Amino acid sequence: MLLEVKDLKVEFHTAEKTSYAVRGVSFNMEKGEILGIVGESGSGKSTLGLTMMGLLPSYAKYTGQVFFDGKDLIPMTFDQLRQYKGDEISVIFQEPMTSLNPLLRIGKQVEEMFFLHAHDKDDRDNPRQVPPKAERKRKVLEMLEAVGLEHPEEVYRKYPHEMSGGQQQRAMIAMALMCEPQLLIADEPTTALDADVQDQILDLLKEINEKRGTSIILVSHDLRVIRRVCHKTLVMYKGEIVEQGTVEEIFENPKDPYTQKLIAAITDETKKNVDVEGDPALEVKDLSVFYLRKSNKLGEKATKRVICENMNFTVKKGEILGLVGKSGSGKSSISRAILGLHKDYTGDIIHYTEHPQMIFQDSAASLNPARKIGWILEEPLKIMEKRGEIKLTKKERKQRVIEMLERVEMREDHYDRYPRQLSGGQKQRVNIALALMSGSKFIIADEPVSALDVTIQEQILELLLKLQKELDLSMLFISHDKNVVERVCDRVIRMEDWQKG
Amino acid sequence: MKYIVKKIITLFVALLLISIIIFVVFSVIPADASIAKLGIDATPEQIAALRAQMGLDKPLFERYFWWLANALQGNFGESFQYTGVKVTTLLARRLGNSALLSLISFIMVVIFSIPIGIFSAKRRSVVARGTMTTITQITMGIPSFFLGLLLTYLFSLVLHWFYVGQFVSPSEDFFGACAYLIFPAIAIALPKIAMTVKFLSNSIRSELHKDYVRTAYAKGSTRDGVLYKHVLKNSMVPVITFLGIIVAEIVAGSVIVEQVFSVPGIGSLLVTAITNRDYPVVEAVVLLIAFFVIVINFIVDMIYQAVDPRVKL
Repeated sequence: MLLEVKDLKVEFHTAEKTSYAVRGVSFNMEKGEILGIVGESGSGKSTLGLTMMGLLPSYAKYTGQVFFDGKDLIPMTFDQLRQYKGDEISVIFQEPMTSLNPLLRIGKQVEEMFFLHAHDKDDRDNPRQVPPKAERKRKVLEMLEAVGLEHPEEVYRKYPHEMSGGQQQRAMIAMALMCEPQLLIADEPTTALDADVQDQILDLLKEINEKRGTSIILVSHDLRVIRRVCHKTLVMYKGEIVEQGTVEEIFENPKDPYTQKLIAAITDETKKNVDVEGDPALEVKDLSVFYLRKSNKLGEKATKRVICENMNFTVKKGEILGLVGKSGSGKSSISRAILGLHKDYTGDIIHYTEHPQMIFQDSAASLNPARKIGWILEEPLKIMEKRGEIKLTKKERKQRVIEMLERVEMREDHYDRYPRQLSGGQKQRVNIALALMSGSKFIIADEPVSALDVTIQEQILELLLKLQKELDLSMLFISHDKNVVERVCDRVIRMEDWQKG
Repeated sequence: MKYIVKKIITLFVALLLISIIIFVVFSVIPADASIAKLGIDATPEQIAALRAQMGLDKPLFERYFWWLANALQGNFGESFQYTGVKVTTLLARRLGNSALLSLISFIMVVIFSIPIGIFSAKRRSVVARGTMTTITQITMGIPSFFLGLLLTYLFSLVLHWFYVGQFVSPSEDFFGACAYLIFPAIAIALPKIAMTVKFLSNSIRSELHKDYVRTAYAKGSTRDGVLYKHVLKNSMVPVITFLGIIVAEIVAGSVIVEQVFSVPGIGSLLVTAITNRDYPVVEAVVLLIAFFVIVINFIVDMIYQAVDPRVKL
């Protein structure tokens, strides 16, 4: 038995409230196992890993026992636990970019492990000599190569910002493995990465487990990730384990209703690609979008960065057209060009509907934090009144807003709330309501669910599909996530088809 | 390389604009060098004669043109108040004193504010933090000249550690000059130290919430290891820019403090030159200070680039 967690409870005490992140969790883990912990954010899955590492903020209080290799980690002092961290238990995080020190070269950051853990593993009071410089470097280079980084000599000298997200995560893994820990905690290790890089990192984790025998705890909100890599899994919901077992058991025969819902969300029938007959809502002809980057250096001409070239597509009335592409491929620039928010383009963009609107990814940042929901939703109406398109009394305006709130499945009393008082999903509902407020029939949804938890994602997607049917909306649905796009879109087009290289 | 060319062009444009502004200002404010020299009892004929002799009767544009033509050749003309003395000679005599004063002040800021800033950032109790904030706020609020008056009173009149006015030039007695300058340097540096302490400790505290700090703890670093090996360098990045501003403020702030401590530097030269409407001197001093500030900015940019690999100029 490598790990034995008994009745672990974690509470966060802040001035305003006490929240219970983990409510009495117990589980065991064998050596050499890959254990998945799945749940939405706020389920306590990440807190669990951080507790073992003593990485919780100071306002967290925890009780219970965590036996690692027979020793209870919970009552340990900072200095006792410090000797385990990185040496016996390592951790990698969601954001490799920010998790690495931006000012230190990769080689230096990995090499630091030798200085931090210069003692015998069996006898922690017995100091061990730090290996000489040449040997340290050789070992670091070997490790960089082992985690699949090409040209380790170059990587050794690189700064984090000079590498891609996938490479950064590999460097994090190299650092985590340097002292040959028994347990690696991977906290959403692929969430911030592009789809194909995700797979590579997951394969690497599997390989590490098989070749080195390192036990791994894989924390993820994504059941597909868990299914791909893990032997066993725990399903967490609101700080409790609702189900645990082998991956096969959980996927084939989920017992808990929450687990069933999670699994249903990923195995749902995807919408069939159908040709929608009818008039166009949006026509895009020979669209080329680019950025002119003014040089701030003297004597250098402005450079042109081309996002897409000669793009042609039509969104028919009542259709949801998907636009997929990797992050950074310029999907959002295209949507901005279509709505006239980005001026550097050539070609024709013809709208057949009035008031085209957009739903953004960051639901929180899109809402004015200083205004109440009611004010935010009434604003489009006020603008239309100014243009003389409609005439409403104050009461009628409020009535329309409340109708819209109900349409997006929110309550009347949300009218007087501030955005910060709403959850992420609710904020996105407000954004959807805002887009529909002016009676628009064409909407661009730019990664509308990628910042949300799986179960919330599912609800928002269902809402969008429902609204699309009820109001006969046309939609351009932009996402990097193939699964999401396939779930909602009638047809799908790809960014790569209009890009060079 | 292009960056350097651009900086040099900026430098020249800035200096040109500043020199124009000074000329315009001096033509707008009442009284000129001739009146300053002859006093209010002088007859209009005397004034007219002196003005013609000084060249003040010529139109503004013409005067500026000739001044600029000479200045470009390194000739800043003669002072009005000290007749016959070249501006460059006047400056050369005093520049060393001011440079030394600014240098001592800046060294004080660096050697005191960094350790105190770290100390302050490490405090966790509410009481300790409150105390640090109060001390820095009060120190920040004291104007340098007032601090100068307090210091001269305490160290000169009460303790007799030094005597105001007994300044010896560093070329005669370097250490004697440094010892004297320590007191005006304290007056200049103290508020700046307080600002830098506050800035640095805030910077450290905000860095402590970053993801890489969590990684450093996860690697098994000690608290001090995290602070000194990871956080400090990162939190110094904004502080470098801040110190660049501080240097400019030190140079500007020394103008008044030199006066209080009777240090014959370019600051006190500037003050008397302004009262005497001695615009050749004012031009030269202000341009020198501006030149210095722009060069400091350039050096700050260079250091910034050296510290932060993400910055490419």
